[in-house]
Amino acid sequence: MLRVRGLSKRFGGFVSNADIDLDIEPGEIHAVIGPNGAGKTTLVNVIAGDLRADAGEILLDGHDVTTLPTHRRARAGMGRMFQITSVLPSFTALENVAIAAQARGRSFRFWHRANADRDLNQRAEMSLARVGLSHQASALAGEMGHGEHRQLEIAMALVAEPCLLLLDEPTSGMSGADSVALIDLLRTISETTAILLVEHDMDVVFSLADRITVLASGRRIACGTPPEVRADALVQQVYLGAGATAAPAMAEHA
Amino acid sequence: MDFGLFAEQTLNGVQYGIMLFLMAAGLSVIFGIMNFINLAHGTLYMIGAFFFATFDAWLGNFAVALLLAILASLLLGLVLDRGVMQRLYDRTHLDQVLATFGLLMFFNELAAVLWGTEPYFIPVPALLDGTIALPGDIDYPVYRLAITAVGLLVALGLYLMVEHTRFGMLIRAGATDRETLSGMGVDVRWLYSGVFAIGVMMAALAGMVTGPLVAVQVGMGETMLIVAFVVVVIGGIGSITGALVSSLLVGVVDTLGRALLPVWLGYTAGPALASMSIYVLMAAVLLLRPQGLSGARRA
Amino acid sequence: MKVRGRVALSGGGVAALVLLAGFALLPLAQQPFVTRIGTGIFILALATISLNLLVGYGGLVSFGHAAYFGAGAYAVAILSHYGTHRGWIAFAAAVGGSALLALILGAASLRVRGVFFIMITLAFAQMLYHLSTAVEKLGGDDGLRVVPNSFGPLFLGERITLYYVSLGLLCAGLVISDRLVASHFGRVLVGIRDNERRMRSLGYNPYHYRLLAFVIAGALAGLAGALEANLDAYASPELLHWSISGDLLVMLVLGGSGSIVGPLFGAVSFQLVQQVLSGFTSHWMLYFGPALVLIVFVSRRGVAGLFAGTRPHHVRGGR
Repeated sequence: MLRVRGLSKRFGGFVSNADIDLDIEPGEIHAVIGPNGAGKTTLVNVIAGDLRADAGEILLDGHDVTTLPTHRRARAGMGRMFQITSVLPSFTALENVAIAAQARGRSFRFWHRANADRDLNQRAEMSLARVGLSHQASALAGEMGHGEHRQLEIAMALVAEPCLLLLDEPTSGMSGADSVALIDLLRTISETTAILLVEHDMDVVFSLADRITVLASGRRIACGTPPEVRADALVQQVYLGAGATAAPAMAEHA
Repeated sequence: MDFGLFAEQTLNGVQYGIMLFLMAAGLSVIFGIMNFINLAHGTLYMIGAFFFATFDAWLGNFAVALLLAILASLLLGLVLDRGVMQRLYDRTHLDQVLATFGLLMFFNELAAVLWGTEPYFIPVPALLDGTIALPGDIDYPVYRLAITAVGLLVALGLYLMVEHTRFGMLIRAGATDRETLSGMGVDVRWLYSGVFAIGVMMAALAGMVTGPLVAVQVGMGETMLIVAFVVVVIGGIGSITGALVSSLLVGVVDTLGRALLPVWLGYTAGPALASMSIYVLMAAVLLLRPQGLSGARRA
Repeated sequence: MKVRGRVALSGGGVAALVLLAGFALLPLAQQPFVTRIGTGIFILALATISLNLLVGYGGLVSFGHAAYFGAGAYAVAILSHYGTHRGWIAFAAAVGGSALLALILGAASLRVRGVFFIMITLAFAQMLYHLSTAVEKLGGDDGLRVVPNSFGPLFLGERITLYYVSLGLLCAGLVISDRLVASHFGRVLVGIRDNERRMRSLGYNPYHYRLLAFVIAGALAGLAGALEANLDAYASPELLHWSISGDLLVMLVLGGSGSIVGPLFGAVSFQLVQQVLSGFTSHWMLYFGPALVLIVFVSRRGVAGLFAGTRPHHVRGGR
């Protein structure tokens, strides 16, 4: 579904991504982990098109999207959930999702009230129901809680029926119960959609991911199934050597 | 078009460009550091000219009047910054535009009340009156050369200050990252006051020294302000050199366009195109290099 | 009023209807002075409605709206100069010409953001101002005389006719902006204003929507300009002057930007203040200027917040 080859990104003299390869198969949940500053968020931004790659190529479903702007990649089937909540605060939850659905259709319509567009509203309602947010459909997004924002963002991404979903730390700032619900949801979603997941929480990573790519200092140091990665000497060294918070979690799963 | 006229108009263009620089440098640094758009910046150019005209008429001494007018405009800059502008630096651009538009209305009307709507003429001082023979058989007004030199000296002084003093170091730091400044224990308010007052002083100075060349009257500042905006757009933000290059470019293109295009294209199309030349230049820069000549654009 | 200033025929909407009904009855007073002022208010309100689409709903602080207003007036004047007085042709030229101008200038201006956008829109409008004074065929500084247009039996040189035509077009402008903002296009525009990055990631190209908003706003401003040319029987460089752009912004924000009926209230209150103040002093700007500064100071959320009261969010100035 997604195929990344030799991807590099520099900021001045600082190399954030160096020669990274990444493959995501249809229906796969692929996690990208690594210590702080490993270049995970940069990688997501380059794949999404917010940043332009200095070298390398990105293929989405066989099509080269390396030089396409963000909105064209979105139309080609990339859904997105940001690290920091990003909704439209002055619209209701339903409208947020309807606007996301509308992106796939015609938006150059100037007279009829968009709110009365049954087709869009129906699709939005279904998507809200899927993430369990139907009861908040008419609430203003700006007045919803953090956990609900994360659900709403997923509903917005799902309604466009993406072939690839980019999730940057979806469970950050969520309560335990909320993240459990979210993990269940992601598991169902992955039946129809490939997922690229950047995540700090090792519990989430090891319970969800089919495969894991490990980044350190902008380079890929390992890639494989969770047991393979867990057993990888270099990965252990990076995590233990960095004395990172993730080390205990890593050991726990080992 | 003979060489003499061409050379003379080029010199005029450089002189105009230097005056634009005095306006644009202040605007650009104020944008860069305070993220502040000041529509009243051109009004201060006009106020400078009126200060100078008044002092000159009272005292009959060009140099003392100039010095007093500079001090008065610095003081006005400080008062404006402390009284009004400091409350606007963290507001939206729309709020800044509205408030400074209100100031502009106020100062223009005040000038009309205090100095009337008839234009003032400031005499050129005897020492600088007359012309000087330049190579190429040109008799060029001494006064224009003198103010070009003054402008260049101010540009040099500004450059040295920004590059080699602690104040300048803070300005450069502030232009890249405002948060670090307060982290360094700098009283940001005083830094802002200093930057704003110096910007006002330079705009006012441009108004003062241009005074003897033009009619000093209400409304003269806005024309200058808008051209200074064009300079900032073309030059980009963050570099004194960029502002200088862009000012000279705009000054020369505008002046030569007005002199040459009517000769080349006739008196119908010529003036029309000449009036558009710098804006077309701006549009071209936007298409080819949206970040401006000097490259750094943060807004 | 509801979210995003939609008229739900409560509060502001009702007040607007009452105000418009009052205007419809005003000519019964048979005061030529009052009808003239009224017509001027309708025209300015229409121009402010068009600016509201950019500033209020697009988050684009344009300081060059005089360009499209003036261009509409000049389109009518040029046709009149060459002997065409048919209303349909003149108004179509004004609307189409201003829209085309907005397409060209918008395409360049929208390449930058924030203060640069403000400066560039101002600069391009100034270009047209200088152009109008430099071109002899356009009458230079003096401008062009206009023979008022006719739509069949409706002659706009007739004071009352122009009054009601302007009032009708103002109402049409209010309805159009209401529908536009609530349409599929409108909510994308507002979404881009609120969160551009999110809208990109959903698959929208902000540039296209902003440019189209720019063109629509230009067309509406051109319509207002065409009416102004008929009211003054004249098109002069004054209509392209930057101070017109400033006045339109002031009216918009006084009335409440990002509210459908805001421009109406803004234009009415601005003209009333101006008329009242100038009754006391010829230097009314000496008082209005500082008042504007104070209004910005007093309201933490900007002038719009002061008047719009309960709206859940206010327009951002494009930071």
